[in-house]
Amino acid sequence: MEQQFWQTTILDFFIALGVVLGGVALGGLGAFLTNDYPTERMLRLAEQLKIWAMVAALGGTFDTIRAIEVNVLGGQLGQAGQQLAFIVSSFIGAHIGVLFIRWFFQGEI
Amino acid sequence: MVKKSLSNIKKHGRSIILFLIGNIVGSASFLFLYSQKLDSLYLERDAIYYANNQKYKQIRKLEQELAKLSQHRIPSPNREETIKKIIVEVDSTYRFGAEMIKAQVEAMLEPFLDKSMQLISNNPELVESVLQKKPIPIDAEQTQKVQVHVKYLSFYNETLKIWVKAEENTGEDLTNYQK
Repeated sequence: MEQQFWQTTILDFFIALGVVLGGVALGGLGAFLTNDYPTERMLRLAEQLKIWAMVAALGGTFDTIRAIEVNVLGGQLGQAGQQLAFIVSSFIGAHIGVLFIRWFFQGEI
Repeated sequence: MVKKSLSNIKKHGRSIILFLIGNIVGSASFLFLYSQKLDSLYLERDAIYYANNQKYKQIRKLEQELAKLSQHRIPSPNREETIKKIIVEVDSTYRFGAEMIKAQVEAMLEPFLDKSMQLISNNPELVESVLQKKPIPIDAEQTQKVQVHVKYLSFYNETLKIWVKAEENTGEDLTNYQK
């Protein structure tokens, strides 16, 4: 049970990170092909993709929020805490992706 | 022939997909390494386009003026000096969009063309009031907007040169707020 929790947490982290980095890389390619400024577009995409990276990592926020509701009302606070940990983990993954992009292009975090 | 090439594609499908993925990965890595250089080249290109456009406008204006002068042969000596050309210089905190700001400020100041230079130099707040009317978007989606303020005005030889400072438009327009 505990192992599965850590597996999901780590998976969520890397999915969110991957969505941001992959989205930014391919979005930048699209910007280049459409005569747009690549760096500016990539930085903006990183910010815009952050929330969607979290959603993608969690597999739909609605289910997670629903699970929190059911667990809290059912008195299973441990389960609700796990769902929150998944959200936090995916947020950290997405945020690290954004920080990495910012550091790479602007030299500052 | 077609069947043969289709079966060839099927046979080497994995290689083709790998080739395409390689292309995408390669171009994405190239972009990570050289995007800043590309950005500066794009900026330079935009500046050149803008300068070229300005030169073209100037040539057209000179042609019109020449045609007008050739019609009227003798110009009146007591003619009041009017603004024939507006040049905008932008001091912006943003790296991008300077050309867009220049073009839009020029468009906003178009009503001042052919107006007396003395009128504007005596009432420089007129220019500021025109510019204050609306914030200028600096991207295609119009998500980022800047507010421009007049820094300096100079009048020389029928040319109004204006230096503007572009600042982030943070203030909401509360005058239009309705409950």
